[in-house]
Amino acid sequence: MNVKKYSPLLLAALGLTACGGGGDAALESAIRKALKDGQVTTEEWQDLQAQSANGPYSDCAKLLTLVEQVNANVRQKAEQLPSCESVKKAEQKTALSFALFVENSNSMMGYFTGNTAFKDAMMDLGSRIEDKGKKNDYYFINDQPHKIGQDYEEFIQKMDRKTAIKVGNIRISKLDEMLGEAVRQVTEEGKTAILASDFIYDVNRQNPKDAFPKLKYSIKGKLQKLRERGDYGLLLLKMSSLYDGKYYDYQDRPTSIKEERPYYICILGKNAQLQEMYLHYDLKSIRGFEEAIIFYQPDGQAYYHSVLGQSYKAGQFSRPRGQELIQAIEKPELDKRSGSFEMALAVDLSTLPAPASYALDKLNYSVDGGNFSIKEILPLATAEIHKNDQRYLGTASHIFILESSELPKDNFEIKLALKKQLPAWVAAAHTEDDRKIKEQMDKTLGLQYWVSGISEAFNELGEDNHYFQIKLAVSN
Amino acid sequence: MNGFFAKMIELIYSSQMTNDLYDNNIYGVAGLVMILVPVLGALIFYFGFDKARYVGWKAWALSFLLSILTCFLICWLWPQSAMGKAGLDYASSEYVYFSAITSIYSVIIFMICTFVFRFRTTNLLHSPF
Repeated sequence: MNVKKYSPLLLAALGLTACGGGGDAALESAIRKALKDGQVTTEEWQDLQAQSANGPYSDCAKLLTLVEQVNANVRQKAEQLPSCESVKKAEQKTALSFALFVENSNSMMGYFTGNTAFKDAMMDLGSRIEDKGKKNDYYFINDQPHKIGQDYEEFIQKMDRKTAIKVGNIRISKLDEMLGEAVRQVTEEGKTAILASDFIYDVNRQNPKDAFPKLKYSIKGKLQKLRERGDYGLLLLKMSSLYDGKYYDYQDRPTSIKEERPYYICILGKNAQLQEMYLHYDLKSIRGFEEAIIFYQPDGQAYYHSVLGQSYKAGQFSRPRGQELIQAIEKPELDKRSGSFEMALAVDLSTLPAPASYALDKLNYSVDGGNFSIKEILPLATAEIHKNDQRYLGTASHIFILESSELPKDNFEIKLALKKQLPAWVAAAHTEDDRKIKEQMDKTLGLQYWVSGISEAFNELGEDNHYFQIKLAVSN
Repeated sequence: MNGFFAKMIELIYSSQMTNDLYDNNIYGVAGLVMILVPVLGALIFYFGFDKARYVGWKAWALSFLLSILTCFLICWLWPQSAMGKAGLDYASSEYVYFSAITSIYSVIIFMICTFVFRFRTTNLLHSPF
C-alpha cells in the first residue's frame, strides 16, 4: 500500500475517531489521572461524578464499570475502588442538616433556670451541628413546634427561662406527638431531628400504669413508620442537669426541687448519619452526658473476626489450611487435664454503634452451638496475645474467650451474637410513681415504656434481634 | 507435594505447629529431604564405596548414621529458620519433635534402599548382614 498516498485519509480518519470519542476520552483521562496514585479518593470520585453528570455515565454503577475498565488497563492498578454503596454512605454523611427541638413545657423550666448543664449542652450541641456548615432549624416544642429560626446566635439568645416560658402552650407536653414531629422532619424534610426533653409524659392524672402502655404503642407506631421508610434509626442520650424549679408529678402536684435530674436527647435520622454522629461527634464530651444507646436495624455488616490459634487456648483444635483468618475450626478436643475447651476469638467492634460498656458485658451476648459460653471479653489492649496470633488480629478491638465443657461429636456451628436489649440503666432510671420524686431524683416516670416502644419499633418481628452475629463452623 | 507429605507425616505426627508447617510449605521440602537424603546416602555407600574393605556393618552403620543425622539436622534447623522468618515463634522442642518424625521415615527409607541396593553391588551384598 502506498502510505504516502493514503496518509491524508488515514490522518482524517484518526482525527474523526478522536473527535467522536471526545467526551468519554476526557472522562477516561480524568479517571487515569485519579488512578495515578493507586487509589480513587472521595474528592476525586466526586469530581468524576460531576464530570459525568450529564453523559452516559451519570449513573454510579456505569461510572464505576468504566473506572474498573480503565483500572484494568493502567500500569499501577488501584487495589480498592469505591463502591456505589460507600459513595452513597459518604454522601449521606456530608448531607447532614438538622432540626433541633427543645421542649419548653412547664416540666422543663427547671432546666432553663440558671447556668445549667442542660442549657450548656443545648448550646454545645447547636454549636457542633452548626460547625458542619449546614442550614439548621431550631425550635421550641410543647403543644406544637415553634420555630426559633435558622440562626445559631438567635438560638443561643433564646435559651433562657424568660424567653422559653413565653413560647407556645407550655402546659402541654405530648411526648408521642413531639416524636411524631421529629419523624416528620426526618422523613419529609430529609433532616436529622434532635429532640431534647425530660420525656415525662403528661398522663392527665390517669394512673400511669394505664396510660403508659398506650404511650408505648403510640411511640412504637410512629417510629415503625420511620423504619419502614428506609434505613433510619434513633440515637438516645441520657443526660443529667441541675433542675431548679417545680416538678409536677402525675397527679399534677408540684414539688420544689433544686437537684440533678435526668433528661434525654433523641436523635433521629439515617443510620449512616447516626453512626457517624455516635462515633465521630464525641457526644460523650457534652456536659451532663451519662449514657447512650442507638436503635437501628443492622444492615448485616460483617464484623472482622478470627479465632486465635494459640492464645487463651485449652484443649486442641485444627484449622482449615491456606486461610488467612481462622473462621472455622476442625477436630476440637477437650483439654485432658481441665476437661474443658477454650479458644479466643478476635473481633473488631470499633465500628459497633453501641456503648463500650454494652459490648463488654457478656450478659448482652448469646452463644448458640457446642455448649459454648463466653468466659471473658477483653479489650485488645489488655489481652495477652501469643506472638504467632498477631497475624490474626487485623483490625480487631476485642478478644472473646469462649469455653465449653462438652463438645458435640457431629459438625456444628457456633453463633455468637450481641443481642439488642435494653441496657440496665433504662430499668434503673424508670419509675411508675413519681409522687415522692425527692426520693428518686435520678428516675424518669414511665421511661421503660417509651424506650421499649422505641426498641420494639426497630426490631424485626419474629427475627433474631442482634447488632451482629458471628458464625464459626466446627467440623469433627 | 506439600499436601501429600503433610498427609504422610501427619500419620504419626500431631502438633500445634502442623497448620503453619503446611502454610509455609515446609512439609513439601521436609518430605523431599527425608526421602532424598537416605536414598543418596545409601547410593553413595553401596556404589561409591563398593569395595571389599567396607564389607560388614561398621561402614554401613556410619553411612546410615550420617544420613539420618543429616536429615535430622536439616528438618530441625531449616523449618525453624523458615518459620522464624515468617514471624512465627514455636519452642525448639516442637522442631526437634518434627525432625524426629521425619528421621523415622528416613530410617525406613534407608532400610528399604539397603535391601534394594545391596543385591546390585559387587562386594557389599552382606553389608550390613
